[in-house]
Amino acid sequence: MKATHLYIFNSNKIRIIARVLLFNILLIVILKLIGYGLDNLINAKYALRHKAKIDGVMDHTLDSDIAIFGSSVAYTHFNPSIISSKVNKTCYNFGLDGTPLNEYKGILNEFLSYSTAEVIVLAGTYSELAERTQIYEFKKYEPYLGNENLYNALSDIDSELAWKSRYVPFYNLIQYNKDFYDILVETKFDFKLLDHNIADAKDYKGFHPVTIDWSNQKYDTIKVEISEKTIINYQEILRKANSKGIKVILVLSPIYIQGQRHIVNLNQIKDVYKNLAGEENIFMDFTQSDICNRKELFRNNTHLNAKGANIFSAEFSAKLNKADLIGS
Amino acid sequence: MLFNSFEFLVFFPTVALLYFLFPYRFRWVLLLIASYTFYMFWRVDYAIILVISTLIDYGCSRMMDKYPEEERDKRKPWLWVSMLSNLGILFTFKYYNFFNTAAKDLAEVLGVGYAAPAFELLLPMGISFYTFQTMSYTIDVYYGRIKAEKHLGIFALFVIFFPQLVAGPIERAGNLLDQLRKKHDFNYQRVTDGLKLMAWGLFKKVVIADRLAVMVNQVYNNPTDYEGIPLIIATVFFAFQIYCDFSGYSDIAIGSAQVMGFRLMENFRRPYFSKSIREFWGRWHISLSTWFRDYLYIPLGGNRVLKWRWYYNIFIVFLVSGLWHGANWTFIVWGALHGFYQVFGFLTSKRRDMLVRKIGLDRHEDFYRVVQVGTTFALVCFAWIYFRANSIGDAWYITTHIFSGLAESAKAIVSNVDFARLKLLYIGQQIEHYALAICFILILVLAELFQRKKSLRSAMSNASIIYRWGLTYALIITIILFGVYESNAFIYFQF
Repeated sequence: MKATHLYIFNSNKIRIIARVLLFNILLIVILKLIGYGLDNLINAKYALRHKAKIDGVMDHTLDSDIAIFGSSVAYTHFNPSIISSKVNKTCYNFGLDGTPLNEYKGILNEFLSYSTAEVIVLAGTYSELAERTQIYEFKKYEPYLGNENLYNALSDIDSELAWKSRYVPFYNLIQYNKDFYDILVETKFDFKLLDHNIADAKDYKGFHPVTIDWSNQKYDTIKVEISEKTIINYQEILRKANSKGIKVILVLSPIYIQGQRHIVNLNQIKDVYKNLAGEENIFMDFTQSDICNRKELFRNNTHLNAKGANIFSAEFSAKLNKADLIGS
Repeated sequence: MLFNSFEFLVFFPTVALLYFLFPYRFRWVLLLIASYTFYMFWRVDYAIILVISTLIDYGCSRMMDKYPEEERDKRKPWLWVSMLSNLGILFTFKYYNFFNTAAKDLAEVLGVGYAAPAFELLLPMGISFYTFQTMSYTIDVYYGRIKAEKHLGIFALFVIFFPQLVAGPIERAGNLLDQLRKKHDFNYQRVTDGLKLMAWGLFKKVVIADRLAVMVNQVYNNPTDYEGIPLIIATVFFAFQIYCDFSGYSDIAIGSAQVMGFRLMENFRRPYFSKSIREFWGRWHISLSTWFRDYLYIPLGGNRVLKWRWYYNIFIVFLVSGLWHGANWTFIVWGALHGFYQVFGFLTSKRRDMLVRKIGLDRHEDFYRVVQVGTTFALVCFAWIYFRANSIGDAWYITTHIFSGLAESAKAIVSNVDFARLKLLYIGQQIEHYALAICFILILVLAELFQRKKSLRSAMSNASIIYRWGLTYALIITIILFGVYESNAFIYFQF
């Protein structure tokens, strides 16, 4: 017995165990340091453009009478300053670039859990109702994966990615994909971008005007596969908002007239929005707006430039006043 | 289950740990269960094909073993049963639709009615690998080179041993079966060596191959959008992609087996440093090349026949090798090209030697070697066009346009036109992504150059702990930060 005991714990084995432990501890320390360094770069360069607003929702400090949600067509089209001045209510743009309802549902659910908003705007373009199978810029959600609302929404899209990112140590490190390195090199570590992002969050109230000119646009025929899952998500959100006395405005944002002709089921998309809105909520269709005939207001087929965004915000405010949804 | 997946990251350490904790006599059970689990992560129902294949080969080999070696005639029917079953399964799943379509096309040309139905069958992962492995076993038993394995469990493990199940190396029973019976104790040096090899394989796969795949796919999926320089770049990149993909897999397979004490055969030996096509095939996918040598080339008569027949044998072997890789004309042309290279090489070898002596190239040994290696690499790259192209039409387009507009493209690139550079040189990728790919290829080439004289792992073992650990950390961190993780399966899984 004594001999076996000595065999198991002989000095060579102890040395090996100590070496393995030291190697792994050092590796963990190095990976932690790298993770810390990269996360700070990420905060500065990559995700911060949305960090302030996601932080604000997650710690329940950001609220307004009119809350605008949606993807880039919310983020770059709705100017809260103009809307506030026209309707005399506070307004904040919670739009997240590249992020349709299926993806921002978690953030919106969290917002609904504390908000005292009167109106929520859900803005989208023709592709909003399609199925979402990938999470856009997943890094921006990583700090908040502990939040159940956010985690559940992301799990609905990519359960494996959400689970691994939440529970597997250092899994976040492999998420620094080539886009991140591209951005680092492209911006040459220029921290002016940081100031710009802070300005978006504070001065512009989450709005991000884009001053790019119209670029050559290729028109392919598009037929949007409307996803049942997306419709269910919309219905859930509408029910939840309405149960709290919040009205929802569904917005189909302007699409350049020539581009509209290439979307074969645009009318079907509008019908879905109309049905979703029902009697209790409102559907605003901006594809009929005069804006859609003015190429100089667009930067591409579905996105307005800064000038277009201001005109659009004014038109939206007028419609909002006309709809008489806001209490005095 | 993919080697570059999170599942394998959990699966492998668990199996390896349990392997050393399990009593010796139950280890085969553990490995058998682990191997079936590994396979069934892909498809549960297809494991039945492996079970059938195992039972048939086990039964046939045991029946053959009943008769002495001299009574081969009595063994023969069982060899036929085994061969027909294995090749029948392979044909049904892999080749039926290909030959069916070819027959239909031929019937159309001849104006004859043809109405055999097409089947929508998913190709079982690694079918060509395990079929060839079991076929070599029954052939070896038939010739009396090995005795039939009596233990069904050990034999089943030989067929499905998870490290090399889906993409080789195609092991011989003579090497692997014995090892499956032996007791392997924990050996620190061997385990760390195995892990280092796995890390190197993973680096080749996720950092190099999958990074290059983005650019290669861009061009090869839309070849008619390009001509000249981008076609050349994509083809050279594909040469490195497929090498890193396949040799990366082999490294992980060999390394993971080594951790548990098993020694699998070497599958790649720096093939792009070959000085001839013949040498290339002695260094590329060695387990398959030697399989074809032993079970097809030599039975056909090898080189102990008339010269024309020898050339015919070589050509047939490469043609079959092409077909082994896939049921598509592109693979057949790829195999035929290599067959042609070989035959042409033999036919012209004396004249080429004379030419080399005449121009004095042989007096500049190093330069001559560079010329030989460069020529071989170019020929291999040319053949890769047919391997990678989605169709013969695409491959022909690339072949006829690969040297088109070179002067204009070069001029546009040199004159610093951003758009031209982006499209022609960087193939639509950011320069950083492109530079990273080149940088990692250089690291690979340097590592392989170093290994011409000394094994990198043994050099590392002799180095101080700072260098050793430093290099290992660098490798791990590079894999984590610069790997491309988008569930890219290994190319050779499809074969």
